[in-house]
Amino acid sequence: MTILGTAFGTVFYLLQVVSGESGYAQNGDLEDAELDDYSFSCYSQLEVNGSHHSLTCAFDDPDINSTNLELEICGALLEINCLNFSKLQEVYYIKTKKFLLIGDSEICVKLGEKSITCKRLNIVKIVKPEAPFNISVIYREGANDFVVTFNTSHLQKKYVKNLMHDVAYRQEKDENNWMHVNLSSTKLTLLQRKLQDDAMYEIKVRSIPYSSDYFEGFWSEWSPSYHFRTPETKRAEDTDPVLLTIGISGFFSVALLVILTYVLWKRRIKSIVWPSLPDHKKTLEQLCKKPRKNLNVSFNPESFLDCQIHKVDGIQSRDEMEGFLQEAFPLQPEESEKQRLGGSVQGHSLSPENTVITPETFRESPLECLAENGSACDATILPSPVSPESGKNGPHVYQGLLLSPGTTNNILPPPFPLQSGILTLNSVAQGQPILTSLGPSPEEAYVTMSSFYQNQ
Amino acid sequence: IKGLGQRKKKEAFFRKIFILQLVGLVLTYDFTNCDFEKIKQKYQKTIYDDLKEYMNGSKSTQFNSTISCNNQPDCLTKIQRITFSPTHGCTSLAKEEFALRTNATFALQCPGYSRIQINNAQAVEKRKKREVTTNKCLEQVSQLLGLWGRFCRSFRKQ
Repeated sequence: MTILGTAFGTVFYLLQVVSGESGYAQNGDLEDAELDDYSFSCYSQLEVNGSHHSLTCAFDDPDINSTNLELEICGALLEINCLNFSKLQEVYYIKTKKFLLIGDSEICVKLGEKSITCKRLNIVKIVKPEAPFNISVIYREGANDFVVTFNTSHLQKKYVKNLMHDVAYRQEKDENNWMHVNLSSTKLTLLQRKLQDDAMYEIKVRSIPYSSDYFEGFWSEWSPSYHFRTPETKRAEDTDPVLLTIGISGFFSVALLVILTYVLWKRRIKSIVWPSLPDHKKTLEQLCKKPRKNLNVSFNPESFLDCQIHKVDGIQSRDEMEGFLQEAFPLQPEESEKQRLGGSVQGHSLSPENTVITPETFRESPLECLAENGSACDATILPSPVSPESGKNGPHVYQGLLLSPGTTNNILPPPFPLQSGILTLNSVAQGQPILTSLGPSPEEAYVTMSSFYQNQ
Repeated sequence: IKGLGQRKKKEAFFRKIFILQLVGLVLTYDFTNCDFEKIKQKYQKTIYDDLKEYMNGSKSTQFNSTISCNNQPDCLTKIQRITFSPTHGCTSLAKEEFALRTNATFALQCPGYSRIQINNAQAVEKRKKREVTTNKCLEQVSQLLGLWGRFCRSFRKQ
């Protein structure tokens, strides 16, 4: 019995030693070295062919003699325990629908029936998406940008749907100067101002499972490159000088206009834009300033001392004048007339019948009311044109001269025509003032108030 | 004598039922200690698509959701029962992909689940066989979708 028990114990011990499991080998150094030589990497592609998935593995050391080496995956499989890899040159692969996609699997390198090395992997953590395709670039002239679009087969897949895309573009002459843009959608907009004009560009895209998603893994292969040329934009410098010149000239024109307006405002512009009220004295002077040779214009009676003044009695239109004056001038007492006339005329002792009123008198107080009580003159003067016909051969009639009833005691000396210098107030017969003209030439016109406004 | 024999048969029958009920009670798992967040993630990424593929062509409004659950452990208990327990007209959905993934999810995220379910699975192994999709099975899968959705909404509220 003792011998039998010892024999069984020895057999069991030898079986343990010969089992060859990892960690149980005697020559640990050699095993470790061999394990390092057989290190491998794998990636998975889900739904790569319809509902079939693929798992691809390869040794990290390309010089390994993998003639007799096999790979096997166990665990995290549907309805089965293990699957063997197929071999194509130096790459091992599996295409199956049997991945559970939940939990870890174990992949072992086997030499015959012996497992050399094993690796624990999760199929959903080593996903390598399929490369994007159909990349295109469209230029939008109105928006001055380029719309980059591409397609990926993962949009129609069940499991790996959320991907992060990396769009890389460069100018063809710049070898390694790639610009990268990350996005989760399949559409990208590149602004034209960020690209060189009239240059050739190359663009490509790749994908990776979204980091925060259930599925993780590696970058896909790059999509086929797409080449496009940026348009040659219109040079802004060609049109700017023209606009600049127009702008500057317009500015200076406006400035010049403002300066001229400011300088000439008082001299010329204001008088046109803002007509001033006529000054009676000045207006009378202007009226009398019309050039005529040897015309002695003055309101100063002393300047006419050497002139012969003749009384004019035989005027045809005397009756008309009287009628007109009767309407305009009511009956005046002789005494008040004398006082008024005496006060209005400078240095003249005139008979009550004839009173000479010169333009000078008007200059001083031309249209002022000579009322004793100093009441305001309510005279209303209506301008009306002087009839040239009546002024030629016949008598001159004062027109447009009206007095309000309040001015019964007032006398408004009539305005003088430009060419005639002397008027007489003839208070004869009925004590009514008679205004007569002493102008010797028939072409002299009676100056009415209306002519004041006309001459303005 | 005949009467005695019939009486003994009846006693044996009721004894089997009692034992089966005891076994069922013992083998019912308590999902209270499961990692609900990871269960939800695995459902959303894998199991949901399988359920929808199983229901392919069927409208969601075709079946009424008559089964509800109150909390997450309760939802998982009912999900497990409908997924793995045979019913009249749909003996087993356990062979389907969504069922296998559900089982793997529970095994990974619920401590002690795999041991119990392996024993339970072995008890009904003989009756496991893939059936043609029947209307009753579609109704059960529709119930599962409702329970899973309720489970996810309960998780969001917490």
